[in-house]
Amino acid sequence: MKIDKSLLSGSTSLLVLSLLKSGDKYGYEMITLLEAVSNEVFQMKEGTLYPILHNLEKKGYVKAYNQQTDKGRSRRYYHLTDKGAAQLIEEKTQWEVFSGAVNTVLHCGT
Amino acid sequence: MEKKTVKQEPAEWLPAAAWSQTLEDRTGIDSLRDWLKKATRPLYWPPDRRQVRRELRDHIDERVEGLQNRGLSLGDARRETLKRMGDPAETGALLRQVHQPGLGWALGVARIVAIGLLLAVVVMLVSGEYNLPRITKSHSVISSRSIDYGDYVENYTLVAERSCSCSDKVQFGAFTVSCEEAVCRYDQWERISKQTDRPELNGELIQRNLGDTCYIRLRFTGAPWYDLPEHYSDLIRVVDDKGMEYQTEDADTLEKKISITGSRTGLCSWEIYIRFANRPEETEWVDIILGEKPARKELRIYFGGWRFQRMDALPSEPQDFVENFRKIKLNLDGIVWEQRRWYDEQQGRVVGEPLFKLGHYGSAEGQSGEITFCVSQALSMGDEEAYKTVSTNSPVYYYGDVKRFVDLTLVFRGDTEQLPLFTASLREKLRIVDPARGSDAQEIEFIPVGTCVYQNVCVWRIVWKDPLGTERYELQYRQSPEESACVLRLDLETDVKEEENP
Repeated sequence: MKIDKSLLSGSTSLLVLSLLKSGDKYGYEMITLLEAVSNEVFQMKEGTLYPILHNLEKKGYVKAYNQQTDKGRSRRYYHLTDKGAAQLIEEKTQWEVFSGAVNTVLHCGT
Repeated sequence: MEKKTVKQEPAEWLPAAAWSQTLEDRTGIDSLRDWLKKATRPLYWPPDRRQVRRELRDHIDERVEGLQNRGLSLGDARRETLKRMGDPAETGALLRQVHQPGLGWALGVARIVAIGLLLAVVVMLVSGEYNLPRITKSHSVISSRSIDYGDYVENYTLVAERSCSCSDKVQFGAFTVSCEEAVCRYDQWERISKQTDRPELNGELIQRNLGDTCYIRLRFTGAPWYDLPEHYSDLIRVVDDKGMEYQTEDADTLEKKISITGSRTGLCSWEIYIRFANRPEETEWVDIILGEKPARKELRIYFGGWRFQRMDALPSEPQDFVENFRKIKLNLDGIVWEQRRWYDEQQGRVVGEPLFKLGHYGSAEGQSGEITFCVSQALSMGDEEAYKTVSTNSPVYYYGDVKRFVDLTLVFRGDTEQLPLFTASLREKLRIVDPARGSDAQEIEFIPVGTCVYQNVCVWRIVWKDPLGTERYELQYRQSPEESACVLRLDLETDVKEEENP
């Protein structure tokens, strides 16, 4: 099931930070992982991932570094910083409060 | 018909399926090129533009290859990739917001400013003041701070630090390289609840992280028109005083592993972090080797002794710490319980499965030689798509086929100098076996991480996969080969808690 783009846009940084919690990743890996773990519910235009990543890097939440694969392909990996980990907790808490409130309203009277 | 080739790409464009240049394979390639140009055109700063274009190009390479592997023809894979990449104008506008805020129409002004800065740099180069002051020694400052966020308080405590010193700066190509900082730290970060709707929860420990890191921070200084080489991490090697080289790739020898990251931090400066995966405990010094002969340069980093804060100077006694640590398990019920559910409009109900199922947690105590230990936390959780990060130093990523894993925290008290290091030597002294598999029970692969938070209190966290849903494990711990094993039996309940349907 695809979801409304506007629902996704507000939580993209939370999703990206969550993906990096389990280890350093590069952009394409994040996109494919996001699709896989969400059963393709979360599908974003792939080009728009990079402004999000670069913005997170600018804020100090992630750090980027280049690494070359065995095939000689260059990949730019992103690493979750301590500041980013703290931000993830913050955003996750906000999301839980928000989603809980939405659920409450949705199920009110049912 | 003879093959014709199209115009050659710039040298930076590596050959890949996405950019194959034979005539037969041209389908869609121009559209992808246009997409890249449009998406990166709004970036005025050439190094930024090159970097972003390279990253997007690599993404497109991988996407096209991935779609081809799924059976699409090259042309179809390119078309599908183009569709998935989205609107290049939108991407470009978003990139510009990040990379060039406020420049836009003022490009001409920016050029003037840039020229002014270049002139200033020339003056600095001539005067020799372009190198920032070199810090020859990282001072040990053991400190704590507390920040009140209203509904919770964050406490940070630097518990122990190993100061390091660096040799003189070296000239490496266009850059002057100096060591800014070389340090190992144990620290802890915790969040305490406050002003909640339930007053009985005020003062409860919400989360605590124990840090255990060693890193070296190098500063590269040079003229602003330089940039770090694309594969700068390949130019840097780290060799310890015994001649052992640290590896940057996944290596079997986990003890000797580093990660290298870097970025521009100013007009004339770049920073490179060399982060050690495990603490170089028995190492007196390491050499940072830059480049290859004849241009090879070396920086030597000396590790000093550990410095610990006294126990009584901490806000709580060790026993309180253990008690506090036990509180973590009480709160885990709310932390690890995550869902992957959503409301399906067509079905008219919430669908999906819980991501984690909480199985069991408990505590136990034991004795081995002069050391007492207790299990402050034993968790068994997991589902088909469970994943968990153990620590920032040793991320453990379980995904897909793992039904369950066990997460055990042990707190050791006593003469902890007898404890092995949290590296390979721990594996020699600790075994985790499944007695149900018989006397030749296969040793279970486990990942230990840990830290000493006080001089006589150490915490280990051990995680292992539990694909078979074993009900009982034995932890066999020996401080020396001659000593009989101290056995800790761990029973895991099989009836996992189920969350009530919303």
